Amino acid sequence: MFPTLASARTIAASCGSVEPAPADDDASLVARALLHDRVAEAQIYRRHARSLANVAARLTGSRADAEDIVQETFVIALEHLRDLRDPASLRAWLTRVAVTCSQRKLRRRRVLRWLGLDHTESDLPLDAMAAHDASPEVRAELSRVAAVLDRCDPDARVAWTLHRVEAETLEATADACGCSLATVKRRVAAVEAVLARDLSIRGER
Amino acid sequence: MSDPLPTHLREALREPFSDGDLARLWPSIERRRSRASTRSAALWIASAAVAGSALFALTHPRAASAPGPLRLASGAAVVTLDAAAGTRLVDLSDRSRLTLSEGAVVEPLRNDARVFDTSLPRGRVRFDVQPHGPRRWSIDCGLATVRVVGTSFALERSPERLHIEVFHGLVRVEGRRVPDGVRLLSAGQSIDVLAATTTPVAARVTPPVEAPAAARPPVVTPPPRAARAAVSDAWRALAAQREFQRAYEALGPGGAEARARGATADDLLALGEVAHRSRHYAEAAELYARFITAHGDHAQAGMVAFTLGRLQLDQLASPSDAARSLDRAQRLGVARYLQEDLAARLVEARARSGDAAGARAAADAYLRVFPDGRRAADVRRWAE
Repeated sequence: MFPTLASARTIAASCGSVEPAPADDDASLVARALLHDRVAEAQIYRRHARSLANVAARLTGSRADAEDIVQETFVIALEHLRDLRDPASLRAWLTRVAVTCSQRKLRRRRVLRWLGLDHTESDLPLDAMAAHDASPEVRAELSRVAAVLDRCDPDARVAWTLHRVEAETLEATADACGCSLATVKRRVAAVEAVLARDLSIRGER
Repeated sequence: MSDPLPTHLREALREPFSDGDLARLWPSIERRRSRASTRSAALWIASAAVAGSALFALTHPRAASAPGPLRLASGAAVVTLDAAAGTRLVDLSDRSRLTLSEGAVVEPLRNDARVFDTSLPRGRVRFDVQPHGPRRWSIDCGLATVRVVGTSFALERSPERLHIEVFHGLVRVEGRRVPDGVRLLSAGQSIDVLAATTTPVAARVTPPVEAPAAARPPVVTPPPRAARAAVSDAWRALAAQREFQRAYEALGPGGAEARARGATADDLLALGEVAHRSRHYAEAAELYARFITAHGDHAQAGMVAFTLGRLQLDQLASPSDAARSLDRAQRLGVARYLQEDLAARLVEARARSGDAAGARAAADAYLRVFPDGRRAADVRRWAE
């Protein structure tokens, strides 16, 4: 098969990879990792582990769960790198895997809670992650938000957290959750409604 | 959000994990991956144990109608389909047929009991889709997505345009460059969806004709940047029409070299392709090398390096240069469906340049990733 430049342009256009990238960008790291380059795999981990760990911690409120999710995400991702269609979108793909792992943990936690078997230590609720210079009012408010989130449906909690805490757009949230934009809007609105009712929070669209 | 809190709560939060915390996790990940590999081997053994029943299921009449992904008529999985060496017919398990013209590529994106989503990166493919089948078909062609209502139709994709013609049934064409965002085409109708830089008119739809267009009339694509078209830019228009020999002749005195001075990245690419396709290989190689040197961080740099490597290997008999170009292409990255070919050619280039150790290393890398690859036999031979 001979790759013409026309096809190169087509591929690049379909991937949306139009930004200049440094030599060791995600795409080249993925290419090297596909050839079992352990250094490239470790570089991928170093580049993305922090943001994934933070997202997982904010989604689950548990340090142990977040660590487990980070490990699971990279085990899955590195084993399935060949399925990644656009290497330049590695970050979004990893986030999607981490979000899926988080949703699974939250759903399992809810079932165990119904059965009275949930022993998860929620040692990282939002208020525990408050910035060091956060005022007592902010900490109190974060604590109330965390309590509401803890009662919410796991999928709605994840969607709301990605959008309101992680500042992801609704489109990016839908992509990470693997559902439609309309579904994400409905889930975010559901949590907003509970927050508004329980905390007298002003609505914000 | 309530008053004390910022709009995005992240601004009020600290990061709970330190670098040390994260560094401790990496060895655990490597251990888990190692265990997963062991489990995977056990699964293969278990799979062999049930192979007999699977064979029975495949040959049983009821099994053939069982829900599952679409397969080739031979029973093999549907993977990336290409027609590198001429027209290729692909018969599928639901009695649908794909006819790929030379150079066409079809990549499956999602394939299950209800959905068969594919992409057409390039080339011309005729789809004869079995009507009333259980799966919804769609083909992502970049400029538009074609949804199949049960029909026969052909797609031809190039960088400048997407041509769709319908022979039987209906197809639904969706995309931002399609008039009103969506068009329903019936038998005998065709549409050209054009790239934004090609023409101010997004698409042209031809009405149904008495006989479906067996011999499609040639499409004359307006030259890019038509507003400032000039005699000196005639080569661009000819290149857009894939008239590469005439495009090269239109470059005028000095040829591509003269045009390449101060050229943009896109023009360098276009000039390289014109020289390449008009069989001025040395000139094409020079232009590609110049592109990589000047635009090494360009999104297409990997593909250009691969093209240069192939040129040096196949046309210019310069395997050591080819090895360097292909090695660079591997570092820059190429599309997934080309990675196997790239890895194999690197082995060939190193072997032909006398770098036996390098060839063996490249062969090991190839066989690790593609143990059953199409080029595995060649790779082993080159590495000997």
